[in-house]
Amino acid sequence: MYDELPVPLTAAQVNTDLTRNITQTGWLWWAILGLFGSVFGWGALVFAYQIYNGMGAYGNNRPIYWALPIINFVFWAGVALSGTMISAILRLLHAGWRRSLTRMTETLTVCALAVAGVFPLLHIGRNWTFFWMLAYPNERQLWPNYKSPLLWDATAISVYLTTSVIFWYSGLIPDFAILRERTQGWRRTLYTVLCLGWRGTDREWRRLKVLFGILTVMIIPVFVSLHTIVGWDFGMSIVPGWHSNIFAPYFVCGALYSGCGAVLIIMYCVRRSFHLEQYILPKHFDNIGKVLFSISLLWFYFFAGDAWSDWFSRDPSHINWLYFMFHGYKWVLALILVFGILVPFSMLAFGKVRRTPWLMLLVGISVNIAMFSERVTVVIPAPSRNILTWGNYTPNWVGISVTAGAIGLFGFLYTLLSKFIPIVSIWEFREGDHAEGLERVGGGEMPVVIREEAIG
Amino acid sequence: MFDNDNILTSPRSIALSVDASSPLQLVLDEPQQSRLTKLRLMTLICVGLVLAAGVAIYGYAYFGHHRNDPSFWHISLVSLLFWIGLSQGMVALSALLRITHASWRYPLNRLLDIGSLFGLWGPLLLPVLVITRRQIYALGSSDYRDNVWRLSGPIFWDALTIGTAFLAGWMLLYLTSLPDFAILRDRAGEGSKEKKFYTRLAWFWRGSEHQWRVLRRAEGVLVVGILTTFVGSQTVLGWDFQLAAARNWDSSIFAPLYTLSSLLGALALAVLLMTIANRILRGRGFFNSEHYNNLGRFMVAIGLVWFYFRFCDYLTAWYGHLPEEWLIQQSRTSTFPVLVLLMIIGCFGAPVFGNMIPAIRKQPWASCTISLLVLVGLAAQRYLDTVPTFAPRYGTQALLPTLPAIVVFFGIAAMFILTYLLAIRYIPIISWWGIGKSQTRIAQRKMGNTIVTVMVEDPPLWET
Repeated sequence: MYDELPVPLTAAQVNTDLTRNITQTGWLWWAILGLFGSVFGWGALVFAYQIYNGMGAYGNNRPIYWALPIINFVFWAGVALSGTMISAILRLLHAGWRRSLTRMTETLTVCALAVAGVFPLLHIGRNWTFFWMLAYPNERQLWPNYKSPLLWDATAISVYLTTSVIFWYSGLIPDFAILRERTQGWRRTLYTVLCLGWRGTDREWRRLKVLFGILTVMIIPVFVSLHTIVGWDFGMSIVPGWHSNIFAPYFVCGALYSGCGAVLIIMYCVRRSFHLEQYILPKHFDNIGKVLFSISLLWFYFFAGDAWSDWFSRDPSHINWLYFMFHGYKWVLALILVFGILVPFSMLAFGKVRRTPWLMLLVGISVNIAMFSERVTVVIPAPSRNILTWGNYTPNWVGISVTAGAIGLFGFLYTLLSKFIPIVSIWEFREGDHAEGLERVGGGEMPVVIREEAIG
Repeated sequence: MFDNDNILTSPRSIALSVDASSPLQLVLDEPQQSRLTKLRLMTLICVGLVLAAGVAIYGYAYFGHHRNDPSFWHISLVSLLFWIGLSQGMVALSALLRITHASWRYPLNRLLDIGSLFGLWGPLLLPVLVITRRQIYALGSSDYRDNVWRLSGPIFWDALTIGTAFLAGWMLLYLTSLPDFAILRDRAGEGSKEKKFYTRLAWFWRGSEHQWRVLRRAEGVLVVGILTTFVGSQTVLGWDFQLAAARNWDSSIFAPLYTLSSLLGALALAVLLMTIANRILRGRGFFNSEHYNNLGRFMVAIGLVWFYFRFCDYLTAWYGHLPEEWLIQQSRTSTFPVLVLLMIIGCFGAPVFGNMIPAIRKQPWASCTISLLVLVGLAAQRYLDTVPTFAPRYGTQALLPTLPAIVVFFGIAAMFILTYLLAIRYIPIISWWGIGKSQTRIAQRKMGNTIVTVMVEDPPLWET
C-alpha cells in the first residue's frame, strides 16, 4: 500500500557505500571509459575530416541546411534539460525521494550540455570563426548578428551551463569535505581545494541552504529559456511547418520528455554499476515513471494538437509538412508513434512495470529513440517542401559517426566524473534519512515525514 | 521515531467536534439578522439580473431585429465561455490539489467542487446563444447552421466535452459530500424535513471501512477523470477557434492557453470564495495565511506560464511579420489598447508581481484585489481572443458592447453567484470529514529544542 522505506543504514555505511565509486577502481570502469573514449575519438577524427572537406561531408544540401548537427544539438539540449529540472523542481516541491537522484541528474545535465554545446560549433562550417557566435562588445556593428539563432543558442547554452555547474558544484561542497577526510595523497589535496574549507558549521549550512534556495528558483527560468530559444530557432522563421507559436512550449515539453527518459537510463546504469540498490529504490523508478507519464501526455497533447489544427484547417501553408510526414518520412513518424507513444503509454500505466528497473531502462531508451526521431521530423520535412523528398537527404557515414561520437563524449564525461564525485549526494541522503520514519499505531505501521521548511 | 499521542483519533469524532454547522444556520443563529438580510438581498439581485438577461436574449436578440448584431452575440458568448471555463477550472484545481496530496487542501475542496453546479444551468444558455449567430463561422464556413450538431462541427464536441467534465464534477461533489450528508442526517431531529431530505441524500452511507475505501477509490478515479475532461473541454473550446481557417484563430497555442487561463481564473475565484467563506464562518479559522500563501504562489507560477504562452504567440507574429498575421495582432493593441492593458495587468502583472511578495499575498484584502484584477484580465483576454478577428470585417463600432449585451454579461455572472447562494443552503461548504481527516494527519513534534511539523504520508489515490 505504501512505498517501501529504505533499510536503516548507519552514517558510516552510507559514507562507505557512496564513496566506493571514488575509492575503488575496477577494470570494468577502465573498460567502459575506454569504450566511450574510443567512440568519441572516432567522432573527433571524423569532425577533423569534416573541417577539411566542408559541411557537404554531412550530405547537407539546399534547401536542407540543418540536418544531423542541429538534430543532435536539439536532442542533447533536451537531454540536458531534465537533469536540473528534476533536481530543482523536486527541491522546490519538497519531494523527499529526490535525495538519491539529484546528484546523478545534475551530472547528467552538465555532461549532456557540454555535448550539446559542441554542435553549434560543428554546424557553423567555418569552425575557426566560432567566436562570432558570442555576444562580445559590438560598437562597430561588425560581426554578432543579434537576429541570428546561432547567437541565441550560444548565449542560452553558456548561461545554462554556467548556472548548472554552479548548482551542481554548490551541492558537492559538503561531500567534497567528506572525501577530504576519507582520501589520501593527491586526492586529499584535490578535495581540500574543492571543498573550499568546508567545516560543516551551522552558519555554513544556513548559507548553503540560502544559496540553494536562490539557485533553485533562478535555474527554472534558465532551463525554460534554453529550450524556448531552441524552439524559436525554428518558430521565428517564416518557413511553413516551423513558423508556429507553439514551438517554444512544445520544445520545452519535448526536452523534458527525452530528458526524463535519459534520467531513467542513468539511474539504471548507476544503480547497477556502483551497486547502489539500497539507495536507488524501485520507488524512485516508480516516481520518475509517473513524472515521465505526465510529461508524455503533455508532449502528446502539444504534438497532436499542433498536427491536428494544421490538418483540420487545410491551409496549404500549414499542411505541407504533414504531407511529408505521412509520405517520405513515414518510417520516422512510425518510430515516434511506436516508441514515443505506444511503448511508454502501455508500460508506464502499470505500477509493477514502473517499479521494475530494467523495464524502466527500456522505457528510457524507447523515449529517446522516439525523441531523436521527432527531432528529425522537426528539422528536415519543413524546409524540404515541394523541392526535395526523403531521397535527397540521407544521413551518411560522417553524420552517423559524429552522432555516435556525441554519445561517446557523453559517456566518457559521465564515466570520468563518476570517479571524482559521489554519484548519490551523501549529505542529502543522510538528511532524508532523518526526515522519514514509521509511526506505530495499534498493530499497524504508517510512514510519516517531517515537513520541510519552505524555500526562502 | 515519533510519539503516538494525537495521531489517528477517529476522523468522525473530530468531524463531529468541529464547530461548523451549515453556514446558513450560523447566520440564522446570530442575534443580528444583518447578514441574512444581505444574503437575501444578494439572492434577489442575482435572480433579477438572470431574469433581465433572459429577457435580453429573447426579447432583444432572438425575437427582435438584432439577430445578426455581432456586438450582442460576441459579448454574450465570451462571458458564458468565461464562466464555464472558470467553473471547470475550479473543479480541476480541486482535483489537482487532491492528486498532489496538498495537505492544506481540505477546507478548500468543497468550495471549489461546488463550482461545478454552475454546469447544471449555465451551459444550457449555450445553444440559445449560438443558435442564430452567424458571425463566428462566417470567416471559415459558408453557413453556420450547417455546422450545428454535425459530428465535425464544434457544437457537438463542445456539448460532449463540457457535459462530461461537468458530470465528473457533479459526481465528485456528491460522493465526497456523502459523509457530510450522513452527519446532517444524524443531527436532524426525528421526523423533520431535514431528516427526510438528508436521509435521501446520504443514501446508503453508514461510514463503514469498506465504504470509506470505496469512496477513496472513486475519488481517485474521478480526480483523474476530472483533470482529463477539464483539459479536454478547454482544448475543444480552444479548438472552436483554432480549427477555423481565420488568421489569429488558427493558432496552435489557443488550446493550452485556454486551459491555463481557466486554471488562473479558478485560483482567483478560490481566493475570493475563501475570503467570503471565512467571513460567513467567522472565527472558525478554516482558512488562514497558509491558504493565501499557497494559492498566491500557485498564481505566480500559472501567471508566469500564461505570460510565456502569450508572449510566444505575440513574438512569433512580430518576428515573422507575415502581413495577414501581424495585422490581426496589431489590431488588438491599436483598436483595444485599454483591454490589452487590462489583460496584461490582470493575467500577468497582478498575479505575478503582486503575489511575489509574501507580505502581500498573505493579506486577504490584497489577495482579493489581485484576484479581482485577474478576473478582469481574463475577461479582457476572452474578448481580445475572439473579437479582433472580426474587426476588419465589421469595423470597431459594430463590435462595441450594447446595453443588452452588458445586461447578459452581468446576468451570467449573477448565475454563477446564485449557484453558490443556493448551494450553501443545502451543502456544507467546508467538508467536515475533510477537516477531521486533516486534523488527524498533522502534528507538531518536539525534537531537541526545535518544534517540527510531522505529517502522515498520503498513499497515492489509486492505491487504497
